[in-house]
Amino acid sequence: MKRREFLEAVAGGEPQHPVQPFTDSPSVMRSRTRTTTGIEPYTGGWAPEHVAHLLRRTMFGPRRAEVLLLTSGSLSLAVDTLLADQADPEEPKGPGGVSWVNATYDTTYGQSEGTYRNYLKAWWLGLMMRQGISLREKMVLFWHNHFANEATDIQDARAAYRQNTLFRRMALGNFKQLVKEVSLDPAMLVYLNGYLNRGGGNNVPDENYARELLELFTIGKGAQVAEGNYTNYTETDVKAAARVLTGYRVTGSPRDRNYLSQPLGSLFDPTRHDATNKQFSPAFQNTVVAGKTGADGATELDALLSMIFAQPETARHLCRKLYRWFVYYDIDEQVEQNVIEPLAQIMINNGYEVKPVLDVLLKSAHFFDGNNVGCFIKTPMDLVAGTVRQLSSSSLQDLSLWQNYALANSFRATGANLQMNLFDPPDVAGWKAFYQNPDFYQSWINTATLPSRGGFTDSLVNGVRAGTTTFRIDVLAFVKTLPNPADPFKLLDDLAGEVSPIALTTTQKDYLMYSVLGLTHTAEYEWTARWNDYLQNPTTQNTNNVLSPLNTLIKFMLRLAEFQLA
Amino acid sequence: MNRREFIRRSVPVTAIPFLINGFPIRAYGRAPFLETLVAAASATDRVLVLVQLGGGNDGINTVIPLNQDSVYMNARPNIAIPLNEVLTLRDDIGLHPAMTGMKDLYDQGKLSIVQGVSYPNPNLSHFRATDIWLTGSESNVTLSSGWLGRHLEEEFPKYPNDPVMPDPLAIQIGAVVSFGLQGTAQSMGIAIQSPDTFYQLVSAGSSGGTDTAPDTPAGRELTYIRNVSVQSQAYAGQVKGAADKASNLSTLWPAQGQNTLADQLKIVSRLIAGGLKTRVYVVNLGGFDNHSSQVDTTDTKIGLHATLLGRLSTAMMAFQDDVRLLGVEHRVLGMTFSEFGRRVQSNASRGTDHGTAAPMFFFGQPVQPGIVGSNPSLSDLSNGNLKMQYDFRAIYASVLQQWFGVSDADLQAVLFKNFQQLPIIRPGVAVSVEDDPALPSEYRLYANYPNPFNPSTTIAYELPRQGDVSLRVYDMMGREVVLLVHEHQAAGRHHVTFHADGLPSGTYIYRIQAGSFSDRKKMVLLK
Repeated sequence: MKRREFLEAVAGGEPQHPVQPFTDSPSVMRSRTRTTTGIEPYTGGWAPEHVAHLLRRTMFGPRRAEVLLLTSGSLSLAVDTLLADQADPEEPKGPGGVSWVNATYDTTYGQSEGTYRNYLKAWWLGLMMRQGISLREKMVLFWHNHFANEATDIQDARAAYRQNTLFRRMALGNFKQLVKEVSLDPAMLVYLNGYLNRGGGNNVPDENYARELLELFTIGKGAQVAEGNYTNYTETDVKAAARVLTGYRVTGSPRDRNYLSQPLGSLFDPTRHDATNKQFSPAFQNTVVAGKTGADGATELDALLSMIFAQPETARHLCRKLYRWFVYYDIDEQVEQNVIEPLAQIMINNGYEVKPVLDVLLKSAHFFDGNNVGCFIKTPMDLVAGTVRQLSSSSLQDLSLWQNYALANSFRATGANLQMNLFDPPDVAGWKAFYQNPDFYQSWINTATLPSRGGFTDSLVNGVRAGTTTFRIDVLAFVKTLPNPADPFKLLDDLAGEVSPIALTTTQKDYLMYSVLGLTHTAEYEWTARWNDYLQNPTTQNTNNVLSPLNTLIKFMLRLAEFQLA
Repeated sequence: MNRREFIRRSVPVTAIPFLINGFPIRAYGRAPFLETLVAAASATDRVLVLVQLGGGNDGINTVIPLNQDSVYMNARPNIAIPLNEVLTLRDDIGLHPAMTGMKDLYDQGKLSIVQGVSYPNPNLSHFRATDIWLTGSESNVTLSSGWLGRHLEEEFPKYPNDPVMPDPLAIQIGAVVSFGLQGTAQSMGIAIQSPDTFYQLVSAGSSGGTDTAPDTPAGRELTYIRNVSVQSQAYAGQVKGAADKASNLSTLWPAQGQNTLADQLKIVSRLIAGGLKTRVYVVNLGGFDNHSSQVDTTDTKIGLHATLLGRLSTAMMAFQDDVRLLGVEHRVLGMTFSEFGRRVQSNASRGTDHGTAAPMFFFGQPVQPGIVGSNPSLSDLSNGNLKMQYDFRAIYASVLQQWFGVSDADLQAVLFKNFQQLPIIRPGVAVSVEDDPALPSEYRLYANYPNPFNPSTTIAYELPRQGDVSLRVYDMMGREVVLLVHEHQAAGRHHVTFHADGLPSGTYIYRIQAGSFSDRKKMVLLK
């Protein structure tokens, strides 16, 4: 029986055809033009909500006091502060404070390498939690996501640390120079087999690094327009670049035993280099990178990078990645025209310096466009390091958090469970949230990770046991940083401002007031009495009278979907 | 609405008037007949287990050709498997020595191989190639939905609020839902790491947020998160309930933590046996991107690749044993895939670079045993890579039709064009599908192709009888953009091309009206 007969049989007549309303769905909304603003300077208001937006995107868990501090200045001052140079952090130590970052590779180091790697991960998480008002750690994470290497594959904590230090030193530096240093970086040479890439004679080059250099790190892949032609480069270019990149070795690494006794680093070995000319495709104006013999072979890398960085698409590719890191994932035509293209021009005009680009972006009308507020889904690091930082009313230095490895390691494991394992991104493309269409940021949130996010924020209030200590947010101290915690209406408004970048509705606030905090309608100011009793006479009973409902309230609010937004 | 959905939604047989797609259905007059159909539909509760081998598996060292000895040895002297150690399936084909479990399955008639699977103009980027496999697109077309997502959406358009499908449609074991399960508006799958922690974490939580989210990008993300929250709560109990009802029975499972694929499949087998109605499970085994040290320095039979193939083989064997002991073997089909195979010629670092065509495995009692296709030629190459024998979408089409009973017309909507059917499922097990008659038997509006598109796309539709037809395109505000068709047309298949030059990017709706039939679908213009 066919559908139509079937319908007629059960309906007993011709069906009616009511006018069907057009409904909107998330995927539909995605295609709508969002904004018309561009990189012109933002000239609107400068209130705590604007500062909070800027800091949520550039830091991990901005605190109320920091927001108020910057509100007293100007946007220009705030961005200058964020972009200012920072002192180098202390090196990560191992158990018992042992220094390992410059260790030579021997049995002792080899046996502890895995331990050091976990200390390294916890160390970086500690830097995020203990950061000041600075963009630096978010940019280090940006570069880690851009040049994604997995420490588990590399199996050398020193190399991972060295690369992380490179990202920190160059966080706001020159992109082209960074690509050059990354190309010679021991971790990268190991991760993408650069150290095994040899040419000349019958040797078949290893294309691994060359491919990702083009596809992910610099110019980016375009549409595939013919077999082996990805618009911005072709398979011929991958092969030619692989030949340019032949001959590099790592030193001080068990991967390349010839140079094991030297310090960790890299060198160019002309005997492994393919010294013939390398012909590139029309995508690179048919450039020929002239083959060089002897030590000169190493200069071919400069020629290769000059060729790649002469293409404006290289600047656009990085500007799109910065945009998705700081603003939003949806790059429509307007954004491409009004934001990406002018930023790319700024980048090119400044010889691929990154700081001038971020300076313009973070001060732009587009960045502060209402449509761009609150649409960023927190990464697991925003959630883990950020929540700990935001809700700890005092400096975490006092908690000896970093010295307390067990605790930092527990937070590290939480981040990994939420799918952001620092130093171990899923693969060379980095985290899917920043490239996988159509999900982008939404790929952080699913039925496995969302409940786990709630479990984590619950644990911050209930207490995280790690080793011999228990870490817990001091809820009362945190609430006391709010301007008027005695007034239940102001208390909820201020907490809402802390947990959500967009306004909560009256329905939500009512629910919080009457169902979660448990106050009675028309008798809300009973809370004031309880709060004042606690302040004047903090007996166990009086303390519990406010602490117990506040614990419930904070846990509930940290499980609001709004709290996942930044 | 398709026939199956109609049947599913008709299950609560009732005399109360209600609406289907806006059609008022006044009463059920033939309940016994309906019940027969419902029973028939539920009898096809079949499960597909998708095993993704991440990184690009070296097919040539997995299913090893035994008829080109010198070419094989010369192309990859530093990684070639000694041919006398290969597990022989046929005179001319064998498996890697680490795959003893899969060799046993082959001998039991529970394993089949399709050779040389790829697609025209292959892409050698891991990420793009993975997307192509998961979305089922042409290599030069970018789709934002997955092949299984589209299929499940077609079957269960009301998901996640389908009254007769209380269980998740698809489950990813892990913490990231496969792109293959992405539908056009939402993901059709959920992710769980283990049934118990899933339940505990969800049931400890609260959702909050009941108001409509604002119509802004922030509101869009908020709505998404709230939906996941609701889904978690809806499914936690179902999943836990199923997991609690069954235990793994096989003694072949490796110890927990030894074999990540086995650990994932263990959960899958428990959930199937526990009665979950979930159609699709996705599991992953990564690490196949062996550019270097694919084999050990002294013995090419061992090393990275051998370890991975050993895990695959052991996990598959244990899973098959478990579902047999649990009595659900006849309902379960497994399939492996990888984003590409690898170059014929090995490189100097004892590894292989990105390649193209590779074999796929099917496992389970329902498979048509044997090997589809011939050995790949290691000398007749395209840019150093193997030539394709079968398009992966022909495999998808075969699985959807033979295993899930998807009609030709629905296949068109999921895969956008016709692909050949390959013998994947044993005759007698395969679902029979009605033949397409010369003239269409019902009105039908097809999904446009390509979609998303720029600047033009083709819309096809079928008319079972002649009559007046109109086809209009609207924007999301409900404004008519263009009247594409407005005439009297003959019965049969028709198509019209929509040129969107001058229109902004965005979603458009096209709506057909033919006689008393009307339907509409969405399309996306992406400039």
